[in-house]
Amino acid sequence: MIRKILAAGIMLAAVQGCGSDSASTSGEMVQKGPGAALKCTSSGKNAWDTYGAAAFVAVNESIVSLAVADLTANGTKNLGDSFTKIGTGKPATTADDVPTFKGKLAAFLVYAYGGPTSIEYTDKKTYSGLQDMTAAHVGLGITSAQYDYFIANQVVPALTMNGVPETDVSSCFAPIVTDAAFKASIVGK
Amino acid sequence: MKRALARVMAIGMGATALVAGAVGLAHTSAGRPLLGAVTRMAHGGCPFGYDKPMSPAQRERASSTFAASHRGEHSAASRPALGFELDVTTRAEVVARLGKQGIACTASKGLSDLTCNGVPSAALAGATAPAPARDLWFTFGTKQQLLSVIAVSRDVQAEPVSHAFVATRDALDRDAGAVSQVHGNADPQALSAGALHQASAEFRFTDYYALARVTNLGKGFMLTEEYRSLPL
Repeated sequence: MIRKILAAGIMLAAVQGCGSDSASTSGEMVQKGPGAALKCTSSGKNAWDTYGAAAFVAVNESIVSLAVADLTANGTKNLGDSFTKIGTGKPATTADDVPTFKGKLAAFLVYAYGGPTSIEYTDKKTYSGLQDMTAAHVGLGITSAQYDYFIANQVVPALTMNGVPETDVSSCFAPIVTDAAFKASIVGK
Repeated sequence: MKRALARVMAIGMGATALVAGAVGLAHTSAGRPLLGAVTRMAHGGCPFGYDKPMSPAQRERASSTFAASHRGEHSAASRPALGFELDVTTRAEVVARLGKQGIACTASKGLSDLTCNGVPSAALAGATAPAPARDLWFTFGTKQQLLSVIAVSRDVQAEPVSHAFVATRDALDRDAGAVSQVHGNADPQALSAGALHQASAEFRFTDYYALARVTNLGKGFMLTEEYRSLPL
């Protein structure tokens, strides 16, 4: 819990520092992720505006923790070996180490669900949410079954265990990760 | 300017302290796993350490690690595992039993000792709740004894997966003991109400762990079942 609070505090401070990304004070169009237009049932606002930095940090950390727990208990049989390649550079898309992977995942989630285009994560590094999912997954050979398992057994539990009600999971989180085109950008690359 | 300089110095000192602390920690007995992970990363290995198949002894240690964080307070009345017997059924027996049903199993990487896809309920022993064809993953220990079995089944309709979840949950509740934690509504209509609607039932005992989880994946429904022996 303390770690979550600390992480949330750092993240909040970081997002304040990224204010220029999300504010339209200059009058220019601000780039928004596909989830910016999705409204959570509970609030009528998108996921980022509803839950904010603390929840996104907590969910991101939970996703990674649950994936690691699954790999610890089950090996690669459920999730495949794509997570185990992180930091190996084989294939080239896995060159990032674990902290960088987590920072990039967080930045993508924040951007995709209506937040700023870049964030400073808990490691105090800045990550861009504007990521090409197809390029990021080249050579990983993720299967449809592995993707579905990951969504059902890591992503959804990470959301619900951090207090996101089912109606919001469905209304403002699900449309992206269950979108056929989004899935196709990750699977089979 | 002074504040900025002071901030940079503070960050630098903090980072140095963190690095020094991490290096120190990495060379203690508690920190050696971290050092090992860093070393593997430096040599292009998996930082999580799962890139090589683990020995049966390592599999049993992984099972103990899982047990440490998932153990309940009472022993299970029985330990259902899709008709297989945890800690007793061997790999050869699984292969032979499913082979008689025309199901070929394959070895896979990591902790997975055996993968058997498209297994119909009829091919599993009587105690199994009916479900769409399952993909099964078995893990075995040092004596080739069954440590765990995980099953995933799917259907485009909510009803068969919902019914399979309810049957699994109720059978576990009846045979193993009272459910430890439930989440969500597994009714077909509730599951169909929106993508990623999910229901789960978790059973924790001193010697056994089981989980059933049903999920609406948007274009279909998936049931995940886990049955594990918890080493005492």
